[in-house]
Amino acid sequence: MTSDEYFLAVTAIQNRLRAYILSLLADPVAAQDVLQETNLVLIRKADDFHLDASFESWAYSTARFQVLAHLRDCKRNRLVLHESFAEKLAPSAEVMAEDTEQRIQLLGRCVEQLSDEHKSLLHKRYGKDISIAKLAEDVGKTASAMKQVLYRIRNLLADCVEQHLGKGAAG
Amino acid sequence: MSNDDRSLTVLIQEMLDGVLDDKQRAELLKRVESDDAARKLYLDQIATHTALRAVLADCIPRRDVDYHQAMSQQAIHPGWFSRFPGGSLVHAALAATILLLVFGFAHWWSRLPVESMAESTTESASAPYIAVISQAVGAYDDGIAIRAGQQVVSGQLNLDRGLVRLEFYSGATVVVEGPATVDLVDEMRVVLLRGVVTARIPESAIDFVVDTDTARVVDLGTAFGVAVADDGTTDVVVFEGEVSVRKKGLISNPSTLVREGEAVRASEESPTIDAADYEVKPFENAWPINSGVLQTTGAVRFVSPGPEFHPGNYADNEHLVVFPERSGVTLQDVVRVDLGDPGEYVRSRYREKHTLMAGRRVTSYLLQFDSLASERFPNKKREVRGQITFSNAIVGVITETRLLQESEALFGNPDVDYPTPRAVEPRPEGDDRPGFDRVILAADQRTLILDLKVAPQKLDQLRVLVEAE
Repeated sequence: MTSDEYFLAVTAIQNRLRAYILSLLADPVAAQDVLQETNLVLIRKADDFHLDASFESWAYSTARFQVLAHLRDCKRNRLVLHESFAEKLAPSAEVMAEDTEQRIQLLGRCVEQLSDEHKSLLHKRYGKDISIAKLAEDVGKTASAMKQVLYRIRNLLADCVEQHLGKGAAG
Repeated sequence: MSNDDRSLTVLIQEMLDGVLDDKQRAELLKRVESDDAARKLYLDQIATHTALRAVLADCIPRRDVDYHQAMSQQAIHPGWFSRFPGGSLVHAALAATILLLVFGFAHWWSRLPVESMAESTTESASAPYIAVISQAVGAYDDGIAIRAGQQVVSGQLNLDRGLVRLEFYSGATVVVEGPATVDLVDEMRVVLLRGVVTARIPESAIDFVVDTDTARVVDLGTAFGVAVADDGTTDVVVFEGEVSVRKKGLISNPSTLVREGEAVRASEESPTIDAADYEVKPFENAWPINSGVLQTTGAVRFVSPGPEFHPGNYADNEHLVVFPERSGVTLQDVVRVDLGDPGEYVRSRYREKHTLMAGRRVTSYLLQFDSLASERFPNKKREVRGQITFSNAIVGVITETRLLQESEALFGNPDVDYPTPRAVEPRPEGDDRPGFDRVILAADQRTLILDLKVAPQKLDQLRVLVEAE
């Protein structure tokens, strides 16, 4: 694997690493930081990667170490410990993360079928990271009502993805 | 869906919204850990959330929709940053990859900044934009990620963390380091309520003002840093040129002229502007971004800002130090460089040198690693590894002594006695043995990856030429 190919591989695995790290930490802010740390380590250790190894395993393993290091720091700071949780969940989180790209493809098609209003709402929530409280305030709803709206949209999308998966399986 | 599933879904969604407290998180993790179905639901929701973010960062809303929303909200929220997504996908574009990987912009993989600087400037003529974000490094405004390319209107910027570089339409370049609160008044004035800024002011923006609770800093054509502590104490440090600083309060308060290499302090405790130590540490994160260096990692370190620091007098045995040299030089003649295209620099006697044509405008930086012998291992080679990412494209890297000398006339500091030899020793073409220096220009053309091994008492230097802003 050349250095360009290596960096391309790091690029290509970003969505999967994000899902993986988020599931182990259950904290989106910390997950963002740990993803950055993981990227730095992957870049710094490019030379240590062996051609005969699986890049995905290498990347997940690097991410897992960064998650555990982060949790150890948290333990020092806040007496919160989830290391055993992360260790236990890691294998199934990896399986889930590997499906992320397929899910992105399917969701892309499903989102296009939504109304413009729903698309705009989802974009604000997920594309721009605007909080539910802020979204609710902007349209004069309560946070609870906004959660319900988003909940229904996500259910629509989940159904749509299931349908596509069903077609894929049938085909 | 059962009530149990519904309550679990709510917990997961609240976690994804970042609003779970420790007690709720503990409950969530307990359920996920102990129940297979709960674990499946948890992972499923996270996968969907991640996929949604990826999909929605890519395709909607349409740019015009966002624009009108931006304008209507602006009247209500003066500090609102307009956000203009809508660029093309760059899933496989290695060009931006390394740069963005290092800085971890939220959604960085999905788009490039959508508006060129030229387009932004045109729009500013009819809109109340005062600046554009030209760089953002892990920066959040009230919890929302800031991205390069966003237009800025007058109002308050609450930078939770990270760094942003604001290009004001007056020409002033200001870098803000979080946590900071800054009132962006217009294209010639900001009010720093707390935090750190560094500024580089061209001729077009002379008289640019940085106000704080205790001082008014007026630029007189310069580069400087201002830091405001929580108690309002203001430190002003001048890197180049000079500024005028006046104590806030009476208009009759006298102004103090502060020259490069000097520093002053204004505080509630003192009725005057007082001389202070030239302390640049608070500005060492923001200043490189003002100088066109986006980020350094590993052993690469940007030199402290100030007139006293140049390659001839700067001793650092641990780092590969980056010195800014000349900025915006128009090449009068062809300049030969060792490396101009992405890839690793290898020595080849047959390969012609890459050339930069006359007329090109470049900014130069000198990278230096000075290896001093250690007492314990006087003969041991020292090794430094790291990378540096510039905000603009690298157009050439010069490593050989002869070419370094050639380029010194144009880019070098006349006060510095440059040593010889000082060349990097790259791997000869076709030689796969380890132990050579590695200089790699990444495919984004902005990042240089370096692994240098230097014998005691030797000096490695590289000159990097970057497209001028």
